[in-house]
Amino acid sequence: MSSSTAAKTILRVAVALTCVGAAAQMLLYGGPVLSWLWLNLDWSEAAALRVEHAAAFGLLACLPFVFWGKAWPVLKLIAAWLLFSAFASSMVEPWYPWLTPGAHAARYTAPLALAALSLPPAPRNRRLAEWLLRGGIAATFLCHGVEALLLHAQFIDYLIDASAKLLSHDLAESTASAMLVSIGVLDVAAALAILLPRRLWPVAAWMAFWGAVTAAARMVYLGWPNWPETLIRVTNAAVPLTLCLLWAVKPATETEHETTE
Amino acid sequence: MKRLNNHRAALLIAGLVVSLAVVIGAVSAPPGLGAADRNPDGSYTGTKLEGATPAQWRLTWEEDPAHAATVSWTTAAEPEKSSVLYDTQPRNGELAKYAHTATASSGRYSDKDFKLWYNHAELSELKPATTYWFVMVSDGAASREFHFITAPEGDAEFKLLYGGDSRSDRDARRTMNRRMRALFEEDPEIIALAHGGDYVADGEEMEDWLEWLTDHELTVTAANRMLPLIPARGNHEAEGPLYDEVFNTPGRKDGNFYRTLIGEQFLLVTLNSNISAGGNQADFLETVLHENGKTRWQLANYHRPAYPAVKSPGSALEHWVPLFEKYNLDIAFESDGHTLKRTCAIRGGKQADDGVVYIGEGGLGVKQRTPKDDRWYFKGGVAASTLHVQKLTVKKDSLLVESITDKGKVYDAHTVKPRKR
Ligand SMILES: [Fe+2]
Repeated sequence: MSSSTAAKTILRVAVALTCVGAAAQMLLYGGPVLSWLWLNLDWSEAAALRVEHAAAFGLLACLPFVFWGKAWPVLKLIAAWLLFSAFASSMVEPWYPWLTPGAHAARYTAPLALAALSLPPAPRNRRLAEWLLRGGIAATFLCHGVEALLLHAQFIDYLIDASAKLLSHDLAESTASAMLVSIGVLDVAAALAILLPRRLWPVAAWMAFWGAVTAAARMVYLGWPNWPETLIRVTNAAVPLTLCLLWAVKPATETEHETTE
Repeated sequence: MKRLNNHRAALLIAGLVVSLAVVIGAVSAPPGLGAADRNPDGSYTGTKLEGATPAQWRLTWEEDPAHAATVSWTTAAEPEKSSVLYDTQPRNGELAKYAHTATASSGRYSDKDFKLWYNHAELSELKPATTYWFVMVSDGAASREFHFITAPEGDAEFKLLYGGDSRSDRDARRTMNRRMRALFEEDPEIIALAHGGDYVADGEEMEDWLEWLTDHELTVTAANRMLPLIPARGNHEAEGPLYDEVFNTPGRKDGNFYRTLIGEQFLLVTLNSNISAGGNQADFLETVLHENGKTRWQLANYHRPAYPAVKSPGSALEHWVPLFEKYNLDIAFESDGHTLKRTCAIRGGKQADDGVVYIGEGGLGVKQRTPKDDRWYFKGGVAASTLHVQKLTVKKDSLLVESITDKGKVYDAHTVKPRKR
């Protein structure tokens, strides 16, 4: 399997899991679109629920087509919904709402990048895919980094909880806050580094690792009922991992042309 | 050509399958509430904000409501001097006759779009279970005379209201404020309202607070008795300064968590679910619960639920619930979900007769959601979509919590017996 095929496979699985997570969030807990349409735009709850349920079923129906290269326009549909959902989040989220669309960027750029990779393997398409992945993960890390620098309460609690569970150590809030500032700086630095013209695969590898840790933290912290929150964030690890794989082999040396999908 | 056809076929199949799923999803969605469930518009506009005339009054309780209270109000002009004149006798607003004066601190609300000032007069060294008559005065402009009753001392019996989420639907908020006033007038044993947060949709917008404060005047009885507030911060108040400016920074600065003792046998711990739950706040909670281990009734009030009726659980589940269970809390009040709920008694993530009961979810003036009533913790509990306020009847041998709808109907009643402590 070429690195490009592996990259595509990872993205496909990640996009599919994101669809499952987003659908589950809407069906189990209600998502931001419901709150926005109903509470902010004054729709009836019935109509807003209908929209979210329709979207959830739609996302689940998209799953088989995520794995069928020829149906790539479906990926744009998924990206459009996830972008819309990020926008709705920023309308209902009271804590620094302007950070939300950026923080969600990896979610909606991943299907777009996959669509670009599903096109004929021209260098132009591959470049487009690469920059969608780079831009998406950079925005996600940048916004999460800023949230960490603003001492997001939930992040402080993740650190306290992880310290108690993994190290049996009672972490003081002031220490957790100081650690969060370092994490924020690291996130922002990674976001900038991934955009440099030079392809720094160690940065991508670090982002993949950290993206996986922070996505998993959602479920480790509050237990399995929080699984949709982890799935929604799978792209935070999968997008940089895809970059790693794409960068492992230079496009010119790629031998396998994938026209069979 | 064949490839093109393949591509078309893929799109056609994808289009059909996704469209069909979208239609099935839309058709199978739960019914929800229709527009017909809204409340009619109220015509109340509140006391006009003009010059230094006191308006938008509120009275807050914090740690020791038997001996202290804060009277706050808003003025449209910067006052040179603001104070509260008070007495244990009614003085019909004759300023010279009041025995006591508390000077108020004033400042401009942190919203540059509004030139408005807050005034806070801290009344201290009050006598327990005593009626105090008072007027607010800013630069000679006085309010009418109000009164309030301080909290009792000793092993007292009394009543208390609890509710949250008075944001976003002004008609519903006014309806609920009128409902609370009716309860307060009917039942003079009610001493205060513990609010679970989300007063307004955007806590950093003075415009939203102005509406809330105006509507809050509706809770004052016809005889001018004021309903004291024990406030908790909600996520819609975010970290903005206006919450502290409206309620005179309840609890610790930059924390807004504190404990209120009513009499010697009733503990209410107010927590802030906007900030770290596991750090200083968990330490504070543990200390308070440990120190008050022998107090008969122990309750908590915070915004984001550990056992939600609609959304996913908040940090309270991880950091506070173990402490509630360790120290045998009786009831935790939770808001945020916009629905009425009472869970079964819970311990260790399971139903247990000696567990903690979680009540509330916020129905003081926001459109009510359809609850997920099939969650395990509602077996033996209640989940419903109706505006509501809880009324607690605190006695020596029982604690009754009634959930009362906007129409005044008792929807749910739950009695707790004293634990062996
Ligand atoms: Fe809330």
